[in-house]
Amino acid sequence: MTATVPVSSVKAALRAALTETFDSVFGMYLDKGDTMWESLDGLTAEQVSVPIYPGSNSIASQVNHMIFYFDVMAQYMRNDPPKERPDWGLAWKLVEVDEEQWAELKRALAERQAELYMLIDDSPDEIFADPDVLGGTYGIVAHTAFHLGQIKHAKAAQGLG
Amino acid sequence: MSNELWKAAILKSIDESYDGTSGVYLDSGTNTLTELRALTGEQATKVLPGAGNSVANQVKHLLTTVQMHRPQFEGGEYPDLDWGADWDTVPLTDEEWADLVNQFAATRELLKGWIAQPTVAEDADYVAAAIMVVAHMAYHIGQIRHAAGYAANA
Repeated sequence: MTATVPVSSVKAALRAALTETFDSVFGMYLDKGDTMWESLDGLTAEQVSVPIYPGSNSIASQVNHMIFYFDVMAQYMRNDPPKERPDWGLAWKLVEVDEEQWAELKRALAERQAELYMLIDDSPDEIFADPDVLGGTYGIVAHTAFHLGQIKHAKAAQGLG
Repeated sequence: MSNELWKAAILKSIDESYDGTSGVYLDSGTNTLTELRALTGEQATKVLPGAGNSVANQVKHLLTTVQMHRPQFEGGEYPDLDWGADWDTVPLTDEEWADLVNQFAATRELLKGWIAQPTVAEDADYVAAAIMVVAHMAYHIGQIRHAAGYAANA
C-alpha cells in the first residue's frame, strides 16, 4: 500500500514555512528579526533603490519580482495557467522607486501574501494532487526564501544590518 | 496524498538548489555549483562589506546545517555543533575552496536520501522538516548568489 500523508499536513507545513518567511520566526529556518516584513519595514525608497553592485538589481526590484512571481503562480493554483509565457524580465526593469512607489510595492506584496494564504487554505485538497500545483506551492516557499536572502544581503551591503 | 507526490516536489527543489533549473524557484540558466566552482579561493572568501561574511562562510553554514538535519531524519541525538566557526572569515586557497564546494555538492545525495527514505504515514513533523530543508537552503542560496555576484564584480 502506498504511504500517504494528509493534505492538511502538507498545507500546515507550507503555511508554517511562509509564516516564518514573512512574519514571525519560530525556529524553522530563520534567525530572529530576519523575516520579510522585519527586513523591509523601515527602509526608505532611497535605500531600496540601490543596486548591490553596478548594473545589478535593488531591493525594490526583488519585491517587484516577487509580486510578479506570485501572480503567475496564483494562476496555476487557480487551475488557470497563463496563456502566454510570462515575461520574467519585465519585473526586473524596476530598480529605482520614490516613496509613493515603495509604499505601493509593500502594499501589493502584503496583498499577494494574504491571497496566497487564502489559496492554500481554501483550495480543495484535490488541487494539491496535481504535481504542478504542489511543486509550484513548494516553489513559492523556496522562491520567497531565496529573495529574502538576497534582500538581507542587499541591506547588509549598505550597512543596514 | 501519497508520500511520493510531496517528496517529488521537495526533491526537485533540492536538485535545483545545486545545479540546473526545472522551474521551481531559480531563473533559467542558473547553476549554483557551476557558479561556486567558477570562483577562486580569494573571491569566495571576499567579505561583503556590511554583511561581514563571504560566499565561503555561507557554504560552510550550509554544511553544518546538514549535520543538524541528520537526527531529524535518522533519529538520535542532536550533535554539538560550532555554528560560530562557520562565520570566521579565514582565507582559503583555490584547492581548499574546491574541496569545500565538493563537500557541499556531496550533501545533495545525502539530503535526497533522507527525504526519499520510507517514512511513517501521516508524519507531519517529517513533512515540516523536509520543507525546512528547502526554505533554509533557498535562503542561503539567495545570499550566496548575491555575494558571488559581488565578489566577481566588486
